[in-house]
Amino acid sequence: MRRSLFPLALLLAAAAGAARPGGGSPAPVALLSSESAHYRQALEGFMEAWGSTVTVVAADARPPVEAWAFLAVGGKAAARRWPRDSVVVACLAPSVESVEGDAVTRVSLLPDPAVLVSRMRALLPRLRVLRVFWSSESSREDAEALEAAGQRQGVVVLSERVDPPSRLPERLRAIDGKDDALWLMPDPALVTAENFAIVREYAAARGIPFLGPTEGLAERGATATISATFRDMGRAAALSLRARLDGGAEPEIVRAARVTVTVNAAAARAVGLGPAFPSADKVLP
Amino acid sequence: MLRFPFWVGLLLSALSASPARAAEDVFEFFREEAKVYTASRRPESAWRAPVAVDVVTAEEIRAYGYSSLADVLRFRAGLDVYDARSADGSRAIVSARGFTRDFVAEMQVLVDGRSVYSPFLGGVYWASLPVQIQDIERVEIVRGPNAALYGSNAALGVINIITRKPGQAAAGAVSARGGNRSVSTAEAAEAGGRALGLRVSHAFETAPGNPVPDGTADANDFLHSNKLNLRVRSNPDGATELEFLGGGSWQTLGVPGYALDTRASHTHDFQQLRAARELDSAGSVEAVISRSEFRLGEDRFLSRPVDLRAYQYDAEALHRLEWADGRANSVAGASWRLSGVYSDQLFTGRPAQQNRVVRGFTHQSLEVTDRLTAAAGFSLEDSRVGDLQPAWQAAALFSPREDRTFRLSYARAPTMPPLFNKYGDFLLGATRFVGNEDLPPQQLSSWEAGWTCRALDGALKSDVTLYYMEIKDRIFSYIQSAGPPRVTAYDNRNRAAARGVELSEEYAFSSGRAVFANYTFEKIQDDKGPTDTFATDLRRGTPTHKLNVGGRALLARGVAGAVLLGYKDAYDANSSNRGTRRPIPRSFRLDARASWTPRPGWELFVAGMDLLQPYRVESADGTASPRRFEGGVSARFGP
Repeated sequence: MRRSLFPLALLLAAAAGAARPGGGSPAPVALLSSESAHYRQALEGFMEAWGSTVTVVAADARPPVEAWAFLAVGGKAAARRWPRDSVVVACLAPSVESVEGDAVTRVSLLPDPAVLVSRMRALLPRLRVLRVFWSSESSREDAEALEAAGQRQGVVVLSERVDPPSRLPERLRAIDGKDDALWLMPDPALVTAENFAIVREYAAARGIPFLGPTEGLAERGATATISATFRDMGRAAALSLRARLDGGAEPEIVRAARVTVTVNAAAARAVGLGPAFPSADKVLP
Repeated sequence: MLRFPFWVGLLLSALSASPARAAEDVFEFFREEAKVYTASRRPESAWRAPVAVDVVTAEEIRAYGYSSLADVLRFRAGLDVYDARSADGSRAIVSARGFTRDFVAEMQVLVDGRSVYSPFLGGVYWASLPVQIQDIERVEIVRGPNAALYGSNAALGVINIITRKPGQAAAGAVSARGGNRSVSTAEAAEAGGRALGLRVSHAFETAPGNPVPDGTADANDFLHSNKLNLRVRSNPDGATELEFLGGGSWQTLGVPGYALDTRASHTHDFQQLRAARELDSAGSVEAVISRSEFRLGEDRFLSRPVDLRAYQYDAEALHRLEWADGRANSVAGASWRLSGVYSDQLFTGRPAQQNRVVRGFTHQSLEVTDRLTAAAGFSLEDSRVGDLQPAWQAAALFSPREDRTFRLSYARAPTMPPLFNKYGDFLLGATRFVGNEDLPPQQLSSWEAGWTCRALDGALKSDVTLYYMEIKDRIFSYIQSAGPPRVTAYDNRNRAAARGVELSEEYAFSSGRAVFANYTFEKIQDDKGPTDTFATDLRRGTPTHKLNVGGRALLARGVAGAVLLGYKDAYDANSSNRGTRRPIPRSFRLDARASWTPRPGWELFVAGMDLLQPYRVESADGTASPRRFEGGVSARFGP
């Protein structure tokens, strides 16, 4: 169904056109890295919060020359060069590490770390030690933010960089098993089907809850996921872009406001949680 | 209109709704393809590499319990690996696509990017390389020419051994293993933080060596070995990396086949400095300088002592750039090398020989469309032994869908004559070996077609390569005069060709549970054949069919197991360096290993190698590899 919306959005966007720089209400142009459903969800969220459709072009296409406000969805789109004096918000681009001056605001895949830790504690009341794995340099800032948030809430966050990601099994073997939960950062270098299976099995074998950074992972057997949806990230991008166009000073990194906790009941029971999960927004059987 | 039976539709819909497909979307967003550096000297997907690439990871090395570099490479597709002792103490033959000799001049071997190819004899002293199994992060194997990027001698392939970098926390490991054929220990310690890290490692091995082929007597094949390595890494900021790597190996060994008490010593040492920086403009620069030295002493090479000192200095600068919105990648670089050898015996009258090499190279790849990528590389090298030599390669990669790539490629690579073949003058018994200063480089051309794919959510890796290679002006030896002394010289009015198929499948059931199978077909034509005075008949020098299967599994309660089974057709083992040839019958090899992890970081294991027969003869060196049993313990401390 979502796929069928895409051409419609393109059509509407073409009809709507874009405002010229200096005009009263600049219409942003969205650049999509591909037609992947994830990018389209973010785009739909963006258009919902923006209140109208926008011009959509592929990441490697030339945007309209008059455009100066952009939404970049995905790493390929976010990494391109932007016209001088343009205003850019990038989302779903976790591997884009550096921002070009103040031109690009990045919507992080990681929800607000304080909220994240708080929701983890609600789900796992005995949480004292959280082991966090990450790999790319672009995840360092989020890992440090999570450490700081944990410290404020009495949770020791053992943040561990796995570089290269192929060392994950080795790192898992080396840890002493005293962790109360495992968390994979939403790091593209690390979150692969193979690594996910490795951590899931490791956690299940030791009875440790394994928390994932995106909702689909709960369906695959993670104990729970604590995440913002791609749609919400698109919404956050729209709010941030609006604020910047209105002259507000936005931080380089913004985060989605809403966090969803999804519990895989079978996986959770296997590690001794439940039977009820009052803090969950969604429970998968 | 096509009509399908009802059950076909049902099956298709069931497959499309399977958990693996449903979950594919989850990882589609995060999917970061496995990176392979060697193929294009930049990180890229293995299935989009312009050459045939195979990777052995540290995880596999531990799970299968490999104890030497030869073991690491033995069960891989397209490689020929034999336990073989040369007359000067090399203990293994490793080649690709069938050109097996004591020293395979057409293979380039790198350790962390530093060439360990020996320019004076043309090959690698595998056992005495200053690299330890415990330090290896991964081994990348490129089959086929890659000289446009790695310079001359990267013709049959490139083996890049990548060692681990220091971690960010204090950690250590100790291990000990012993059995009926060897005893070894290894220790490593590392410490550091985000800005600075250090790793030190040491390994010791002592082995009585192999017996003679019928197993009745000791073949004077002992080995005592010590290796020490140091690596210091500094990341002053997120974008810059500075590294120092240093190490050495010190070995005394018996040389079988001659006087019973012939002894040799091998000493290697190296130092390497590397600086790399990521640039803002989607690119990076890297500069490496290194120095290495190898000393060989043998007290009775037939009847007389031999010693030599070989050295090499390298400097290389490299620039990688991604452009056209990531659709194009460029690598460009330049290198300088000075290598030399000093030996009064091997280079009589002119004991000091040198080769200076200057080279420039570039490699470009461009995504022409979403499905079609073109890649090309070119190198121009000027050296004393080969004058001005170009090398090039080109490939077209067609990806009908993600993780599936069809590859067509052509490459041409020169192989420089070893210094001994060019300038040597060595009297050995009643034979005098004389180099030929007019020897031009060998030229290898290769045409390849390959299919690489990952399926079933990345769990199944599949790779097929078909190739045809031709070596023109292959170097061979001939009797120049009957003597006495008989004079043996080198020439290269010759042509050899090889064709083959390499098929590799790997399936990972889950973490720590995987099976693999690979099959290799190799066929060689050689114009010179057995007339080569070194008895190298390349036509029968490699098994026509080879099959390897293996599996590893993490079982319950910390118990793990691994099994490897290999089959080789009959072949003639050659020893160019000894002038011997031996027919080897078809054979199977079975290795097995079981381990128990009582607590994280600890492991106890037992293993058996060559379990199907009491002795294996696979070379013409006058030794046999006996069945081996061993056990051991290892412990890791820290993260």
